[in-house]
Amino acid sequence: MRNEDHHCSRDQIPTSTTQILTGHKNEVWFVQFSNNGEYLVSSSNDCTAIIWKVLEDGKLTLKHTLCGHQHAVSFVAWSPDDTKLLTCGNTEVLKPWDVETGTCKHTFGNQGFVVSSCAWFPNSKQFGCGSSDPEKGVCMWDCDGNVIKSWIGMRMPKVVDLAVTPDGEYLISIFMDKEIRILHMGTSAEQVISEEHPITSLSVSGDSKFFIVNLNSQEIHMWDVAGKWDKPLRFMGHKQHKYVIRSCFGGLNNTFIASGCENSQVYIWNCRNSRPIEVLSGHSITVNCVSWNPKIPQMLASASDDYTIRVWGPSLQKKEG
Amino acid sequence: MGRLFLINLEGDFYSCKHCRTHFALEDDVISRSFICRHGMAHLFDKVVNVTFGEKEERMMLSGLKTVVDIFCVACGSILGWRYEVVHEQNQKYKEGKFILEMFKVLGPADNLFLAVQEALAAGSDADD
Repeated sequence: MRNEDHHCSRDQIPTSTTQILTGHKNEVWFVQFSNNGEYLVSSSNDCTAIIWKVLEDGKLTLKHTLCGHQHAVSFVAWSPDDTKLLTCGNTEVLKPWDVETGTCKHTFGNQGFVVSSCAWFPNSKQFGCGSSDPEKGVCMWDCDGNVIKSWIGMRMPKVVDLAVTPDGEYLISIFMDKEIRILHMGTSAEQVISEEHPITSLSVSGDSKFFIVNLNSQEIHMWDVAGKWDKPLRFMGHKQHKYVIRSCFGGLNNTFIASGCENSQVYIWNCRNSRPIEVLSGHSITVNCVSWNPKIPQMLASASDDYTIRVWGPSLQKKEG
Repeated sequence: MGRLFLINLEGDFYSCKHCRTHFALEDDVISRSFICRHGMAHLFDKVVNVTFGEKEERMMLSGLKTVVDIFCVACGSILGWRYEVVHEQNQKYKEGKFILEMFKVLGPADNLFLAVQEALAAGSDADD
C-alpha cells in the first residue's frame, strides 16, 4: 500500500522541464505563482520583475515587464486577491504595482527606511515591511503610504524576512540573530524560536499552520505556527552556504517541500521524510528560488543565476510507463 | 553569483577594505601579535562572510602548518587563512581559528570614521 502510494505520488511530481523562460537579462533571484495560479512573477538582478500569464495549455507567456527599480529586485509579494504586487529592491525601496496594467503608483522607503522584506495582510490593502536598519523594526503600511502600526523594539535586530499567515492571524519575522518571532496580531502575544544557524528565508503553508526556513547550515526546518513543537522537522541533502536560497510548500495536498540549491538543482521532499525524493537537473548554476503553482500541483517554477526560469511538470516517459 | 546572504555585525567590527563586507567582531580577537607578509595580523575565534580555498601545507615563522586561505564572499579578495592542523602542542589553540591580515581589512576605528562620514553626508542630503 505504501509503495503504491509513493508510486502514485511520483507520477504527480514535477520532474521534467516543460518550458524555459528567458525574459530576464541577469540572474533570476525570485519566482512566485499568484494565489489563483494564473500568473507567475519573477524578479531579477537586471532590476526588473516580470509578470507571466499561465495559459490554458500550461505554457507561460510574458504579460508585463515591471521597470523602475535601481537595484536588483530581491523579493516580490502577491496581494491575497492577486490584483497587486509588491517588489522589494535589494536594500532599496518597495514598490506596489497594479497587476492588470503593470503600473506603479507609489514608492515606499528611502535612505531612512531600507526595506529588506514585505508581506501583505489578508485584506490586500495593507502590508508589513521589515527594515534592514535595526532602529526601524517592522512597519505596517496602507497602499497610500500611511503608517498604520509599528513594532519597534530597543535596537530590534535587522529583519531578514517577513510573512503574514494567509488567515491573517500571525506576523512571522526572521531576524539577523537567528531568531524567529511569531506575533499574534489580535493579542500581540509573541513567541520566539531560536535557531542555531543564520536563516536566509521563510515560507508559510497555505493552511497557515506551518512554516519552513532555509538555514545556511544546509538544512530546511519546519515549525508549527502555534508554537507547540519543541523541535522542528528537518530536511536536508541540498547545498546552501553563500546565497539566499528559498523553498516552498506545494504539490498534492501541500505535503511536499521544494527548494533551490547552490549546485544548480531543485530538491523535492515529501514532508514525512528528511531526505529528498526527487532531485531535478537542468539549470546550469545556482537555483535561488522555487514556487509551486497553488492550483496546479504538478507545476513548479525555479529561478536561477543562469538567467532562466524553468517550469517543471510530470515526466511524460513515466506516464507512458 | 546570486544573491549573497551577508551577515551584518553590530558593534566594533572588521570589514573588507574593498567592498565593506563585514568579517569579524573586535570581541572575537584572540591575539594581535601575529606578523605576516604585509604586516600585522590578528587571530580571530570566528569570522563570517568568507569562502575557503584549498587545504595546503605552508611553512610559517612558527613552523609547518596546514591552512586554507580565506576570501571575501562578496568580492573575492584574499583576507588571510584558517589554521586547519597545527602539530606543535603549545600552538594547538590556533586550530580552527582565523587570521585576518590588517592590511586587507578596515578595523573598528576605520569603520567608525566611515559611519560618521556617511551620517554627515546623509544630513547634507536632507538639507538639499
